[in-house]
Parts: sequence; C-alpha cells; structure tokens
Amino acid sequence: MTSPRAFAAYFSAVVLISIALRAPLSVFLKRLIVVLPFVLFIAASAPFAAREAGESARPFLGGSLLVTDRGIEAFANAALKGALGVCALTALSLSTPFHEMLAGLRWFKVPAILVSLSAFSYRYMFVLVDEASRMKRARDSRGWRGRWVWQSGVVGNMIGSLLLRSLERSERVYSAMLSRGYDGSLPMAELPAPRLTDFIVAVVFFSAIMSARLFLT
Amino acid sequence: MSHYSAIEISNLDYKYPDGTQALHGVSLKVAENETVGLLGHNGAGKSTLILHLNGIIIGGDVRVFGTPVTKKSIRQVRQRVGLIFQNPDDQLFCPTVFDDVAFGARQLGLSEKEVIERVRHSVSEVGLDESILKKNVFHLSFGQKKLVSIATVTAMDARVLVFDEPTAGLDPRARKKIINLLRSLGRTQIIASHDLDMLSQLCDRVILLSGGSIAAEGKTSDILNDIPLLERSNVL
Repeated sequence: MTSPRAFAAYFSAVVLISIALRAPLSVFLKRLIVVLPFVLFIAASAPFAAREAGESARPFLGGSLLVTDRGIEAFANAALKGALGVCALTALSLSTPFHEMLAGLRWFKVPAILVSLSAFSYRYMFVLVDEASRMKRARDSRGWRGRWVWQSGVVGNMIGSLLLRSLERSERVYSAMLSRGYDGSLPMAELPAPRLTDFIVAVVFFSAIMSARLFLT
Repeated sequence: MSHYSAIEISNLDYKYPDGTQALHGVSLKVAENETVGLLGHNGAGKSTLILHLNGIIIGGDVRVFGTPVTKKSIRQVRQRVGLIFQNPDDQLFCPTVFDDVAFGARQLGLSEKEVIERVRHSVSEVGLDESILKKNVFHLSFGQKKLVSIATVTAMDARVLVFDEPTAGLDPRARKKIINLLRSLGRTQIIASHDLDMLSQLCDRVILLSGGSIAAEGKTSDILNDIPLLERSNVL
C-alpha cells in the first residue's frame, strides 16, 4: 500500500512537470473525466474484498455488505494510482511528440513489433475516426434518428462495415509497404543525441521518484 | 540496359482467388523514358496489372529491364519500379513525413546520411518545403499527401514510376501542379487514369484495357480521338 506522503510526492512531481510545460489544468481534468469512471468501476469491488478473521468491518447499505478499513484503503490506493497514471501520461503526451515517444520505446528495447503496432495505431486512428464520422454524417443526412435498442442494428452494421473497410485498407497499406521494399523491419528516425541538461533532469527526477518510493512508505 | 524495355509483359493472365478473371492475355512493352497511359473502364484490370509491375502479385511473364519478376528478383524490381497508389492514406503509413519518405530508402540499407540527403532531394523535387518533413501525415492537405506519396518513391531512386489515378480527387489547381510535376519528373512513367485530358497532355502512347484484355494501343491522339473505340470499350 502506498502511503499518502508518497502519493503527495508523486503528484507534486507531475505538477512540477506540468508547470514547466505550462500545461493548462483543464487538459488534465478532461482526461481524468474520461478515464476515472473505468478506474472507479474496477476499484469499486475493493472495499468488499474478503475480510480476514477478526478484522473489524462496518455495515454498508443496511448491513447486507460489510466494508473493511483495509478495503477502503485499497480502493483509495487504486483510484489514486489510476489518476496519477493518467496525469503522468498526459504530461508525457504533452511534452513529447509521438514519434519521439516511439523512438524512446525502441531505446528501452520494447519489442519492435509492439513499437510498429503503436506507430500504425497512431497513424490510422485519425483516419479511422474520420471514416467513422463520414459514415455517421452520411447516415444522419438520410434522416436517421438514433432511437434505443431497436435501431442499434444500424450502429452494428456501421461498426461491421468500418471493420471490413479497415481490413481492406490494411491490405492496401501492406501492398504499399511491400512495393517500397518492406521486409519485416520498420526503421524509423533515431532519437536526437541527449544533451547534458537531459541527463541532469533525468537523474534528478529519477532519484526523487525512487527516494519517494523507498523512504516515504 | 538500353536494349531492354523498361517493362515487358507477355501473355499475362490473372485470376483472383474468387475466380474473377482480371487479366487475359495481356502483352505490352514500355520503352525506357517513355510515358504511357493506361486507360480502361472501372474494373478493366488496370489496378491488377499495376500490381504485377513490381511484384505485389507475382506470376506470368513480367520483365523489368530484362529481369523476370520472381521472388528472387523482388528487391531489385521494387527498387526500380515505384508504385504510387491512388489513396495517399494507403501510401503514407509512418508517423512523420520524414519517416515516410525515408522508408523505402532505409529498406535499401542506405546509411542514415544518404537517406537524409535523398529525402531532402525528393521532397524538393516534388516542390514541397523541407519544413513539411517534421509534420504528421494526418495534418497535410490531400494535395500535399499526393506530392509526398510521389517523393516516397523517388527517394528510392526508382526508374519506373507507376501512378494509379494521380489526379483523382484534386482541385484544378492541385491537378495542374501534379501534371506539371509528372512532366518534369522524367524517368519512365506508366499512368493509369480516367483523366483523358491529363493523358493527352502527358502520354506518348496509350494502352486501352477493356474487360481484362488490351482493346487497343497507339499514339495518344489516335486513341483518345477515336470516340467509337472508347465507347465500345466502355470508357465513354
């Protein structure tokens, strides 16, 4: 279990980076709102987790469920970790262009296939979203009114045709890759050589986080 | 090399796995530095034919500068023949413009210094500013994507450029720009298109495909002015 003091240290690290980036708070809040429901949903079962013999518990919702202090702590722990992760990733994405992030992943020896996969996902995510919004526009312009379950077939069909179109596109992309000599490796730009300040920032930051991890338990 | 045709195909048949006969007895020659138009109705087999030119589909007797296209010769063939696909979102698959233009050159195993040099040269050859190299492909206009697509192939130093509908979807200005660019690029060019006006501006010769076979071939003006022929071949 991570201590409140350690959490405070981690969060202040993220806050410091965000201030250095001059990142607006609203960006962080927006992403948190998107992700937190999932985190809370997953963490929601923690307070009701099995209780050890003799451990005190409080009745919840009229006594049908029992909640332990340890369970509540686990819940807070998971929720805070989720929020921290989202904030840290947001700070990373604001500070680092995606292709540099990929180069960084390769530097960390992440398997090439995973790096390629991320590169393609990033490249085609926008194309896919565009395609979906074009389909939606075409659907709406023919007078579609989204009405509950009995019209969900339409949405299912759209998702299906989006999938088929994507499969076909992937074939065409693959042809384009082959025709330029693709043989399984996807070479990309190298990282620019790190400067002295990069090293200093990395060392200071890493030691701060590690100290929080080791001493603030 | 000059005594070989850039492209030579004899009696090529191709049937898709679902049984559709896409090409039937196609024979043609394209001389080095010639610009040839490939005209035909939708589904006439233009795209299938193009895919044979650098071994995306292997089969039949297809020769590039005298070398038969086989699994063994594929690397060499793909360096010599560059395909520029119709939809630039298929052609451009890397995170940045630089990586995309560099892709083919890197596959050739060139040093990073040579790669950078080629990328710069290709991008300026198609008339784009170097500042575009850092951009995300998604943020380019359609016309810019088309130009970058061409640069991805010229960066491999391809000697035969094969275009699938190079002017489709462009506004008149961007279309004019592409036409002028193709004219200035030189090399051997094969242009598959329905844009009769563009073909008449660029091509020395036109090959007319209909239903998977060659219906006619000849001087551009002869073919494009033969209205009954174009009607018979379902082009007009």
